[in-house]
Amino acid sequence: MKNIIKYTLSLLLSTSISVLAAQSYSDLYFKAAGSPMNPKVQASWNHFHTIAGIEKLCKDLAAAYPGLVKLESIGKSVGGRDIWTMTISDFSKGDPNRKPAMWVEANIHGNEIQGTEMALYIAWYLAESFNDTPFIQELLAQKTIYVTPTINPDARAIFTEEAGALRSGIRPLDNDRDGITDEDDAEDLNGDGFITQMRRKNPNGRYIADPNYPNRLILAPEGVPGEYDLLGNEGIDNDGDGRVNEDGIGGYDPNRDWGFGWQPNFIQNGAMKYPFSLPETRAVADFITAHPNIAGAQSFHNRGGMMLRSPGAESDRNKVDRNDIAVYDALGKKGEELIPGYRYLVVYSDMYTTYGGSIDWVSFGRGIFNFANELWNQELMYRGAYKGDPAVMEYEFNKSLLFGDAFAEWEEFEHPQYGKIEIGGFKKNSTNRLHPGFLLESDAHRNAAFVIYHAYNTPQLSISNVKEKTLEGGYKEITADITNERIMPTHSSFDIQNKIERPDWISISGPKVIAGMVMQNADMKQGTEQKVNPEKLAVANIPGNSTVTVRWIVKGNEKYTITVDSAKGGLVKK
Amino acid sequence: MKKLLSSTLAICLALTLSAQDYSNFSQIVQRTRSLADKYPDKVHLKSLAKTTTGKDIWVLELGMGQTRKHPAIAILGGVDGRHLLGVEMAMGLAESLLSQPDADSILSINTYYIFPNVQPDATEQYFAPLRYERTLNARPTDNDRDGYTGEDPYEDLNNDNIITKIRVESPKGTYIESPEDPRILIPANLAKGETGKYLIYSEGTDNDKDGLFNEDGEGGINFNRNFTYLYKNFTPESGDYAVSEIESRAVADFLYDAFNVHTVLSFSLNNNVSVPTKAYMTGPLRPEQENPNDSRINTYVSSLYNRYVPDMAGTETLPNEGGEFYTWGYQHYGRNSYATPAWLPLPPDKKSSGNFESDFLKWAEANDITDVFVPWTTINHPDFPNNKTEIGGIKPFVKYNPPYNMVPELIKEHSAFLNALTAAAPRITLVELKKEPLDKGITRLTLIIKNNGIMPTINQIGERSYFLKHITVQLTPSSGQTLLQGNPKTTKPVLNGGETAEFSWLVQGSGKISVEAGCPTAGYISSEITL
Repeated sequence: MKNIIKYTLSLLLSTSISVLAAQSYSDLYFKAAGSPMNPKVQASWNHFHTIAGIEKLCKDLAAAYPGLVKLESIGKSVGGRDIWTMTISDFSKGDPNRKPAMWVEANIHGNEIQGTEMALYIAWYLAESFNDTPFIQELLAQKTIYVTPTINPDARAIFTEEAGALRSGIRPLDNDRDGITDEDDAEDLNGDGFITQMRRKNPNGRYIADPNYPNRLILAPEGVPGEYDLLGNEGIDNDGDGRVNEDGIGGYDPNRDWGFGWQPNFIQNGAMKYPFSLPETRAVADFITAHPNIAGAQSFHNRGGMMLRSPGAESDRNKVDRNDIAVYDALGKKGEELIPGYRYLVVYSDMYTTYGGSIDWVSFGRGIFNFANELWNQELMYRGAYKGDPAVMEYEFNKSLLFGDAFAEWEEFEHPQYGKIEIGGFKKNSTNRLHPGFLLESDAHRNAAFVIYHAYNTPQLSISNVKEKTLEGGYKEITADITNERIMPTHSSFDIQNKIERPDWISISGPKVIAGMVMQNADMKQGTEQKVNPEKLAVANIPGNSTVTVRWIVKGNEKYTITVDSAKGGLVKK
Repeated sequence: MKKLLSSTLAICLALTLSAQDYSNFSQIVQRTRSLADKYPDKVHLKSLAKTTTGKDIWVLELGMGQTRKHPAIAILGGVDGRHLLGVEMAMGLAESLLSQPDADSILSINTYYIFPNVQPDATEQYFAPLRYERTLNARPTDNDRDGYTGEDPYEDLNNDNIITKIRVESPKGTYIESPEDPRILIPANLAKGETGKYLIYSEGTDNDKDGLFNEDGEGGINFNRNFTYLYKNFTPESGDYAVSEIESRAVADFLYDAFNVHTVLSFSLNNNVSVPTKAYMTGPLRPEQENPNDSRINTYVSSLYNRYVPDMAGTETLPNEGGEFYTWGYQHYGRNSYATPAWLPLPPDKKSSGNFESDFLKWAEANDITDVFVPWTTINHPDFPNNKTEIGGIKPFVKYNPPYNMVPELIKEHSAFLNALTAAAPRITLVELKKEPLDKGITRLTLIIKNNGIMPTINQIGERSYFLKHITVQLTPSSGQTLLQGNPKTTKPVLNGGETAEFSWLVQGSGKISVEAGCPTAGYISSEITL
């Protein structure tokens, strides 16, 4: 009764609001397929989020969808900023930390910022589409998606709030080895809000302005006198050692700080002191380790239009075997279809060897199938329609589609060491690394679809074909099939070889168990008997799209329950 | 007065105790505290972290003045939890460094970072009601990776409060009695026409019936398997990733920030010093590449070690398993890194038989050391109801830790070695700061410095790591002076032992001008001249 009153009241209230508002959402808009209609949390996808913008969107989602989105800080950055993680699942359908899960993170490189928008879009899309999209309801009933929009908030703050752009984090590092850290960073000398380039007029210079794109410098052709010197990034020699910008903020690579195949800085440039010596990578590693239900993972970088998988290092080339490659291929090839222009590649063989990267720790350190997407590809500017000189494509795009917005025009400046110079060049939000606003949403949706496909294909276990056979002397034989209905196994091959994650436990409770075995051929009574604790069978793996058959010989006629308890495959009872 | 009494009492107590047996954790704490109390101008005591059981990882900084700008040696004990002697050596070296007659002159230009025990939860098992050789810290781990933690520990089947071995006569056996000493079992060798008679296990039962005995007991991770060089993930003692532990992280963090450390001396069962080792650089899929300058330093340090600690020559050493501390010290930390057990038993003829246990028993017999072996005694074992099963074997710890009365002499020898090692440290000295007037008001200023030590300011491997500092030369002109040539700050990557370097500037103007030059591993010089 109370409920009815409440409901009527809220109905009245909402009606009165819509009456009061001149025009409702549906008066103004008609749903475009695949995009949330009338979202509770308003968001737009043609800009990048500051730290405050990320926090607001996360908090708004958690407040608007308490049954679907939970927000927590999983640690603090070097600069004391929170690393926010959203847990997204249908909380009314089981413990989110026991469901097969997907981990999504972005922005480990502080200048590769649009991954954050991809991650935020996934969270927003799932929450806002839940009510009217049965597939998303099924997904969030079965799965959990952990979304961490930025794991390098300090560098993101610099990128979005200051003039510079920083790949590393802000832990001080003495790049020039003179005993003082970070004492010679680049400076925004002309105060235009962007660190760009410096050039100087010099009749003996090596460069001239491109006659077609005067902002562009090209090498002076043979026989043509030069006009300019190029002097590097905007800045001065702060520490009096005769070098400019040689020891800026940070100066390491947080994506060489992970705990598998780690190598020191003189083998892998950018490495810090030891795996997880940075608070950001440690926070992520601790979270993933504490959530063994994470079966799939996605990280976002830029650029190149690639979906990359392990191994990152050639020395690990044998660690992804045929079975694991089949899983990766199934996901990656689907990705090539979902995100046109992106290629599915292997880091070490298609690019170059890196040691201590996150994808290797996630796949080999934790046995999680994961991709790193290199977002944005300059080919996406024209998708093949541009027929001019590829070297000036970005200049042409800036001129004809961005109307000059991505370039800081050259302007004069009096430099303390170089004298009269000019400062200008492409801004950090140019299409060199980042999407232009008008292409951001479509890439976000396609990348979200890839993540959703991956999440959907984490192991999905069920118990079926439970058969009983009465044996002589009051004994009974119980046989059951445990089926994994999706692409991914509960354990990767490398996991099985190294026992990274505990085995899956298939147990029976109720009657007294005399013997228990995992069957290779149930009809022919061929199986492997587990001599100790036969009621709790340990199974190394339940492969994708496959069935494992187990059998117990029990005494008595009690009712029984069969439970499958898999770290990555979830908890199922029958 | 009361305080004085109690501290005197503590010292007396510590001395009495230390005269009898190895020090436990709280006695080491007392000894470190009493050093800090006795030498407040030379000792700075710091706790780097607390282990999972709340024991502090202490480091003693020994030095005077600007200690972080003086060449430093780091000394570690407890690297291997079975090696109580290592703790005693580190502590003893701290005590002898401070009490030697020329302590002031040494400590005013050198710094020592002494970690008496980096793994107290492991070594403490020596003092526990149940004594067994333990290499693991106290963080509960699933060593056999089966999903259950600590389900198969040792059991003291014969209630003698120590863990030895069990041997089982069995057709499945793969061991036989050693011809060197029938008390010892060795693997049967088909090539010699031998087949096995015994199974051998640690003292206990196979609680989880997985065929392995006591493979998942209390703890933990082994400090000496947890470092990054040739680290192996997922082995029982190494953990999930390198430097995963409170202890290893505390030590690595401290050392990485101690830019003045040029040499690490660690006590463990590893030995790379009584026989000189070739220094090389390596990496995944890369051939080994010798660093000849570093090899030369190793040769010199070995010659010092064998001069001062002659009894270690010819002893057996443990094979490397990966993730060791001392290999990290060179290969990744980029310092000269030396490890030694400080003592190992040899038979009277000083020739190893190739079997460490047999060497040990011969040494014990020759030196009248009794009470080192539990004679094989038949028991009833639940896992082997139909087989003759016996408990026995060499007692825990005695193989690696000599009777305590031998320790003072070992400390004396190693103390002499440490002084010689200190004398080889890199050291920047001023050769001259000279001025040459070019014309009125314009002077050429020249600085010549020398590394007066044997060791380089940074070694060949450290030269490649951006965590090690170059030599900086900082010129400070006074007001009115202008540099016409050269920069106020100049850096030079390295100066080898005995090498000099020259820097020059053109200065316009008059008055005083000062210069400071050096690097943390080799110290600093400063000078001033009037133009």
